[in-house]
Amino acid sequence: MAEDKKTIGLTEANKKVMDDLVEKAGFKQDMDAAKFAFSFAVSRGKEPGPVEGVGTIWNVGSFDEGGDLKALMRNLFPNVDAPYRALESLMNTGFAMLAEETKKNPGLRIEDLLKN
Amino acid sequence: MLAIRSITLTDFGPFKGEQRIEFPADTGVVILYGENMRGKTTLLNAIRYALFGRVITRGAAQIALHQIGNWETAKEKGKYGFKVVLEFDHEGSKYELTREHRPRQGITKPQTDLDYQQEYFLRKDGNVLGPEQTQSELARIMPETVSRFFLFDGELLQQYEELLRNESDMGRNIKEAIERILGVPVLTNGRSDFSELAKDAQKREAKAAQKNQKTQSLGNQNEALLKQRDGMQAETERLKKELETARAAKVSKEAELRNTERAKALLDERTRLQDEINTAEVRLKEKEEKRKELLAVAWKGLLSSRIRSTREGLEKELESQRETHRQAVVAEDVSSKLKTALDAGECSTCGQEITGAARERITKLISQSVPKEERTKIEAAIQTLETRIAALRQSEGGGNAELLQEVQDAIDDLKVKKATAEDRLSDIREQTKDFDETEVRKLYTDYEKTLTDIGLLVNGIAAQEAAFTAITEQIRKVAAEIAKFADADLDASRARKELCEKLNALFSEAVDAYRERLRGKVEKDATALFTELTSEPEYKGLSINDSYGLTIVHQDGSTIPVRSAGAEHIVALSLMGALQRNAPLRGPIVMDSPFGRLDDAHTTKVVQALPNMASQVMLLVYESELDPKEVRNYLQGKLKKEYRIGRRTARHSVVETVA
Amino acid sequence: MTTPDQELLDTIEEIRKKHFPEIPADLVKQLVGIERDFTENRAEAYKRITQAIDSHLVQNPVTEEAKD
Repeated sequence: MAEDKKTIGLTEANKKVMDDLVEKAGFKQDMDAAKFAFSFAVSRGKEPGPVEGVGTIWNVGSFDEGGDLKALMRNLFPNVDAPYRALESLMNTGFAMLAEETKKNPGLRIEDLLKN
Repeated sequence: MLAIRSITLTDFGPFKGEQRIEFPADTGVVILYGENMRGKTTLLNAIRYALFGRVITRGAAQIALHQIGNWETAKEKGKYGFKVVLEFDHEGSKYELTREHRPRQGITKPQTDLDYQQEYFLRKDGNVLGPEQTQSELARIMPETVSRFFLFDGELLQQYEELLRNESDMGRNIKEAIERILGVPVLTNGRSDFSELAKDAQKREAKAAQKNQKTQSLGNQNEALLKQRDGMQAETERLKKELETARAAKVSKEAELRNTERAKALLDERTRLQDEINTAEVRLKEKEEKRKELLAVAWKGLLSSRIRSTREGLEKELESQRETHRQAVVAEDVSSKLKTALDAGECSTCGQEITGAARERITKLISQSVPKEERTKIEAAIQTLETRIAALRQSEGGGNAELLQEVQDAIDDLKVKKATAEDRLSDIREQTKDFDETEVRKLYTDYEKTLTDIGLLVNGIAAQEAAFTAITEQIRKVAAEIAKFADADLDASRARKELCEKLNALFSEAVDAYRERLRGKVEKDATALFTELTSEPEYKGLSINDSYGLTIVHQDGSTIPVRSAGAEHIVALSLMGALQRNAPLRGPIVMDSPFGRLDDAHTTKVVQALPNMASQVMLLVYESELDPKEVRNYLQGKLKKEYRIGRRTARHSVVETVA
Repeated sequence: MTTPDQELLDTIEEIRKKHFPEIPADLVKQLVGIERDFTENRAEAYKRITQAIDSHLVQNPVTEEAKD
């Protein structure tokens, strides 16, 4: 069993997407945007997978205070050994998807995404 | 009654050299025809100048007298100045009034009014009167305040509309002028003179009482009270003057306010918009904060259905595990009881011996029960499931998409409102950039203050008047006490006082009675004249108000609130005619272009009615205004003389008799 | 038809007769005349009115009978 990650982050491209999203959508902090991206990916049926070139942004202790996200990951993906690794992968997938969406629809708003 | 006999002009306006116009002694109409700019209005002004030393424009503004002299005479002969001699009759006496404007000594080329001096004198029945007597006579014969009713300029008509607006200054002035011509001041002046005389008599009585030992203290008391009363009266008068000033200020401020209404409205709008923007900014901030909070948990919303279905799956499994566990527990219990029975060799319930086949069956049953280790596993699974479900519940909920949308909509709405307000504000800022805001606001506060002042003054006057009444009563009581004592001086002063008081009361009553009578007569005579002059059959007559303003009454009893200039003309002429008939003060009517606003039908009617309006009527008209042939036809014997003002040059007119 | 002057005199005379018969008619006529002649000269009017009153009081002194 692979050891789980202690820090999580994003690829450079996805970090840019996150920064844009924080500014445009008005997220209070980047963690909120990251959680949003992760759940966007999950809601669209994505599964965790490998991801290359991620940098370090957050410490899992501060990202997932209380461990709820970890428990959630275990619940949603019981076969996953490393929940934070899986979370990181889904976050990156999510940002890539969001970038695509905004490219297709420049006037897209968060509220519209929540409706689907 | 004043009747003009002749007017001789010397270098007055376009009338170069000396020119004389005679007016027949008989009652009737004299017409002077002249085209525009020939000098018709100048003739009217010549009469004004002779009587009052002033000349006015069509708009009633005074003209500088140094501009009156004949230009050609000045240029050709270097001679400046002008003169008017007016010959007239009044109450059996013959008068000759001479008024002249001459350059001051040493001035060869006068430039302003200051370079001139005015001289005048009045001859009565051949004798020259002294300056004071001249003034007194002229004021008696034709006071300037009423000249507008005799020297009639059609352009001044709108003044009569003011009579309908009682509160205007102009309305009050005209009302006073009308009362003057009707003789009302004879009574109002008498009333106030006798009031003063009565007060004076009271003081004399008090002094007489002081001289008498028996009444000395009463006399002293009376004198003191009279002094106090004088003080109150002076104070009331002062307050009344202040009130008049304040009221005039109110009127002028109201006019200013009307002009600045728009400015104030813009300034108020500016303030309101600024408040609106500030409020919108605060609310926007609140909403944006709320939105951020909602966004922070929005991710849960995205996962809610997935989490729910996972949880439901786990709950199903948990239920199934619990059932299995329950069954296992039950089986364990049964197995234990069976083992005991087997060991005992008999059933604990019925006591039957357990042998052979039964023994085999029971042994088989015991072997089929769930082993303890298995049960422990199930329990562990149950615990795991419970933990997982709890964790899922934790992540469930939150992320209210509808609320987030609501908040976003509110933000969008506020942004639009704010932008609209900012746009409008910018526009208003541009419009008000030159406004002196403090000035505008000061005007409003000043106006409010004026209203407050007026309120205080009115109350102050009322208080003074109440105190005045009270002290007058005290004075009366003291005087009644003094009256009990006989004394030659006291008796004389008392008699004087009583006489003056009675005369004051008499004149006071007479004022109201006379006004009432006059209004009735003026209304009757004006109506009679109006129905002669108007061609509108549905107009029944005229109705008069307290200020002698006349309103047209329709035959259905309603009044006609707004009039055309033509109708105003007819009403004004009716008033003039009615005043002439009812006024102790009478004179000729001199009308300058009176038909400008009238159609032919009305012009004819006015011409025909002229001889009824005054004994002597002078018309200054141009031929297209009034056809000489038609006029002769309408007036016949009442037309006494015709003149024409002919042109020699642009600056030289001549009065010629029409043959 | 009465002249306007007469109208004024008639008005005041009616009231005098009714409410103030003790004031002589010709005194009132004299006073009205003064006010009419000096409408524009108030000071002169007041002076002449005062003289007229004084004159009248001198010519018509208060007697013992009149007082009773």
